[in-house]
Amino acid sequence: MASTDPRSPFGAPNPIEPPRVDPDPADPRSPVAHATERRARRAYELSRIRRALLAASPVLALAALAALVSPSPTRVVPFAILSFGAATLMVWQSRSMSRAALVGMLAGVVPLALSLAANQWHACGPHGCASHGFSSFCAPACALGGLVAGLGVGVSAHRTRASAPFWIGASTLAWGVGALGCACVGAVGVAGLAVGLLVGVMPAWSVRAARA
Amino acid sequence: MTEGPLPRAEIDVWMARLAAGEREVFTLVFEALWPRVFGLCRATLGNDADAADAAQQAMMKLMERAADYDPSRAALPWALAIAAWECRSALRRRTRSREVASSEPEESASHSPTSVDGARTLEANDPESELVRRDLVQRALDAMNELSDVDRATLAATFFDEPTEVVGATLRKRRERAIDRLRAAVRRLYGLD
Repeated sequence: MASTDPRSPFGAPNPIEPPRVDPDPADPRSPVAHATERRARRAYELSRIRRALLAASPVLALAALAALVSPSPTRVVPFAILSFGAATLMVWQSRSMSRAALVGMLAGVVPLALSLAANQWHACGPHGCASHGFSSFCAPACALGGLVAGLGVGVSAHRTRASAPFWIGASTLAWGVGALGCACVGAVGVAGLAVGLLVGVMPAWSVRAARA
Repeated sequence: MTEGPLPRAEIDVWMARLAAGEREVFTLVFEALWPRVFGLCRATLGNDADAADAAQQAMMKLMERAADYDPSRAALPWALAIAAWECRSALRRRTRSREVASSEPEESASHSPTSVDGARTLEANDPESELVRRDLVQRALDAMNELSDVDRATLAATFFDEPTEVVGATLRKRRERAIDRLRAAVRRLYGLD
């Protein structure tokens, strides 16, 4: 039925236009390849997300521990969400950020452990500490933990000549994990942790900045 | 097919970058692997439709495992091993469905003598030589999976004209050894050469 061919006004196939040939499916530009690429990309991302959720799960374990030990478990929740989200995002993003997540998590355990220990020994809570004379001990424990964590992050990042996102990511996660313990002390504890962390990171960061 | 000489070292680098989370090399990796994976599936399964399904599955698996890729290993043999596994699974599924399909007319034939022609038609569509060929391909893939990455790469260079890191006498020696080991693997698996 040549007259129905839309390519030619004269009712015959246009001899200039070559006949349409389906591309070889082995060609990466073929429709099959395009559809597969889309599905494969989705599979790649989903697989990375699954791995990231699994890799970030220790944060949840630490949060559960902090909530069990802490006198005010509800204060732990926002920091748990923040830390878990940050860790998941970092592991999902790239391998170098996965390392940053590991460093941040490990560094954050120091202030977390110190604050929880201080909290247990002196029963520090949102309304102060039970033992007189020790009310100011918890915030310094957080600051000291932050300092150690900051030094850890700094040394690790400096040794591996890490990029700025590594420093920021690892420090943020260290702060988030540390805050799981310091949250029960209140804003002073969390702020003390942040100050300690900044002071700890600063020397290595200064060396990096000087070299750059 | 649009297969050119494969930049194997580049694929290794791209694959390592993809494993590290660099999404911008995704298309490069895909475009480098797709023709090879599809070619392997086409050679194994014998038609484009089955090959497309198996190659799709293989690429999905590959990309799911991309984050686990070990950069010290060659990317192409790793990818082709995954693809070969998918092709073999597809082959197995197809053989199984044929067995079920061919057993059904036999069963119905035993109940009804009028369906004998139907069973004959099925036999005509499923020649013995095709089954033998596919069986041989499956056995060869099984044996290939027993070999090391180096041997697999050498055999891929020999039979699929893949470029290799080595040439000349070294390649010949490697090829001889790889074929010896392939023969030994076939003998071990099936008791024949």
